[in-house]
Amino acid sequence: MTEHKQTMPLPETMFCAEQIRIPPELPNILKEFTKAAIRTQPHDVLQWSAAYFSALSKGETLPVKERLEMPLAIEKTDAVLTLELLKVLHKQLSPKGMVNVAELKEKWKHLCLPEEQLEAILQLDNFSEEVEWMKFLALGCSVLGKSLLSSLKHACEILTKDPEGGAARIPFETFSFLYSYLASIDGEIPKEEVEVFLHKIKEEADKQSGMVLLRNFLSQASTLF
Amino acid sequence: MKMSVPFSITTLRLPPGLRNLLEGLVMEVLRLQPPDIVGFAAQYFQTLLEQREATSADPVVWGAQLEELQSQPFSQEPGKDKEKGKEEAGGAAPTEGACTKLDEDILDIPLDDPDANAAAAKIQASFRGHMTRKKIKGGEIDRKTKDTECANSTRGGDLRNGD
Repeated sequence: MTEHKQTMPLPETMFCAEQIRIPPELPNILKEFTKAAIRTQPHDVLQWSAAYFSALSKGETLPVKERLEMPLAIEKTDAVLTLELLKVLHKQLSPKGMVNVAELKEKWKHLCLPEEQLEAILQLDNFSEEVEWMKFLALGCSVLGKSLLSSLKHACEILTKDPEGGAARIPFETFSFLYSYLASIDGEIPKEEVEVFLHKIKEEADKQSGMVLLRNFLSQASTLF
Repeated sequence: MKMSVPFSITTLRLPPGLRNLLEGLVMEVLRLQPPDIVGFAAQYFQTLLEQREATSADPVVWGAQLEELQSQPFSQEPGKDKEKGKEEAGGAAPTEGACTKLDEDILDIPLDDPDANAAAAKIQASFRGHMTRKKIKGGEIDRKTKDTECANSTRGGDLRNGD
């Protein structure tokens, strides 16, 4: 039967299962792809499938969520940026530091996100053709969070190397950059207030090997905002 | 809300239309036997994407409708296959439990055993059905009838051997 399978050329019409040669690598490719699809739940299956295999063939980071995101109901409504999707973009684009807007647009589209939302985010600052990834990340977080501090919470969750649900530590320098940047975009927070706040955080961070923990700033939410 | 959710309460489901897209891809891979499957798949989906952008026909919407159609019970094959057909139909039905089962099925397909071969034959059958419908439009009804008869009898035999 096996030799039969190998020697016989595939005719145009297939009659039985024995005529089908299954490439040995195919099952695994399909399995990984299907798992990724179930986890990512893309809005536009075709767009996403094309992006998935394109990235896979080029050895790029796959447009795949690390895990299933719970409100699957959003799938019924319009696609919007979520924490997990921003995380995917971060994995794909942060190694570059500076990101070309055209490339950002492409990756955005691959995740089946609406172009209008990207335009809206980019309009928050005066970007040219290149975007500093950390700034875009900060702006993306500001879309996810309702307040400045909840935006920073999202940023910490994306940037931290801690396991999920942990302290979500990030270096003070990073924290300070993100906070100052978002405060400047916001424009309504007095400079002195920003400085006082960051000074307080730095005192905490100095006791924690220069790392900022979520609880260092979330506990202050009520007093500052 | 950020804590991980127990896996059991999440409903695993395939995005609508994906199953059909995959079937199309697998058919082409089995037919053309490309040496670089990943590259082939990238090109395959890119082509579909371009076709969708050029025309207004969306193969995913079409595929999702087809999936729904396939989830309705129908009998087309004699004997053992009928049972299997029903099982499959149940699996694709849009109920939560059944969908989970379908996903498990898809994830755990070992393509090197006789059952998988039988399943491949089934995929092939549905593709042939699709081709046949195309051909009917072209007026090649004669040939299709022959094909189907022949295929049905062979497949019936295979299944019995396979099980």
